Amino acid sequence: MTKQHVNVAIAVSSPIISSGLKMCLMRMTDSIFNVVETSGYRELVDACNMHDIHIIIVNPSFGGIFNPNSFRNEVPHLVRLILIETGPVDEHSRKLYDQSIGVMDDMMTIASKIHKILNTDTENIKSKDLLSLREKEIVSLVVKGMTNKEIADKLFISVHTVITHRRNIARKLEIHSATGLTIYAIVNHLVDISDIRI
Amino acid sequence: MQTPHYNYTPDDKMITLISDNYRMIQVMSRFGIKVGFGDKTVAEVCEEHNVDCMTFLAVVNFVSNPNDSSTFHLNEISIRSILQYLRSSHIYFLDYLLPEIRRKLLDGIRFRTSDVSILILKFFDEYSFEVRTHMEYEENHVFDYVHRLLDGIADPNFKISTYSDHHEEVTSKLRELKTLIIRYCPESADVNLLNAALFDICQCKQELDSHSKVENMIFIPAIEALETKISSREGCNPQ
Repeated sequence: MTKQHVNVAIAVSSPIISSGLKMCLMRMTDSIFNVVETSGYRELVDACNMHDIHIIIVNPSFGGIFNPNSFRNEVPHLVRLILIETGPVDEHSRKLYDQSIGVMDDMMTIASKIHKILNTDTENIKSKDLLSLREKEIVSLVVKGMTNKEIADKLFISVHTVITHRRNIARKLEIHSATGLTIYAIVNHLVDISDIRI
Repeated sequence: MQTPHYNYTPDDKMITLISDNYRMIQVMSRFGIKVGFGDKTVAEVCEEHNVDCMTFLAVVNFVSNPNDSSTFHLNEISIRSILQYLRSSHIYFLDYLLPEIRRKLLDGIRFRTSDVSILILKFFDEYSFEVRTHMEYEENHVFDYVHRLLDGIADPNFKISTYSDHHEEVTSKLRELKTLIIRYCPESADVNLLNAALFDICQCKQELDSHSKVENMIFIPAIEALETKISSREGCNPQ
């Protein structure tokens, strides 16, 4: 089996803890961690936008006071936040994170906590990977050049539903362009190349 | 593997930069520096080629450590030099790299009109057109604005911050092209030729990423600083 690549950002103000975390991640062997260390809040947001970061390990005092909720609103995609506990943390704050690691945790504990997050996400992605029959139907109509309104009328659904379907299709296939969708449709025999005007 | 954290200075030998990271050859040529400089230092080579040494080093250090913007100071940046760098990057992408990828792609997918290869090429052409439009917009509007700013003329209707950056879109399209080729390329494709095209696409994506980072982290902040300077001292001539 190929190893999973995981992009991780470390947002910890202490360089000792930051480098230590990086070393721990690099020693883990069942996944490959690409680690970015960040030194400020803006830099962290930029790193998330540029590198498709999946996991962020952060301490609560990062960039003043780190607010997980407002941070999640700043990045467009889903990120998992792991709290690194460098001092006492109250239960309410801990709940704002997906997981927490203590500075005295041993390697086994750290690895199992991180993999718990990774496994849940992989399962979710797997089950969402394939297009449903309805979605395939919509792909074939889109590539034949029909508008959202025309598709909605033909399938007796709302335009809003068509848009939601199209958004899910784009996410599952990682295809966002009309030409890309046409290629998918031809290769998967949803349409014939002769039906397409190029 | 961990990339070593270098911070080059004017007294380093130019050859060291390239031995450490071959991608620096690209940066050098964008500044108009050709290879064949013997054992000269960065400062000496820059002086010979009329390149602003601090700006050159800012880009070199930033490209080596893209997550660390503390390796340069904005007030050391020569805007004219950075403009030259960005302009020759545009020429490189539009006149060399993209046509080169198209040529390899055309051979690699064994282009014919009866299968998806025509669509793959269409995707690429649409993409190239977008990149060209984006870069021409920068040349015609943004760079012109900056030239006027350098002459001390402020434009009340334009601020560098209003110029939105579309690089993210530009590189995500390239990722989509890569995905499309890998997943759906026709069976008749020539493996070796197609791989060459794919490697070029990956390299192009990496270079575009790096190009946009230089724009976002060095160019735009330097222009913002210039804007502030001009608006606070209306009428003064900035250098």
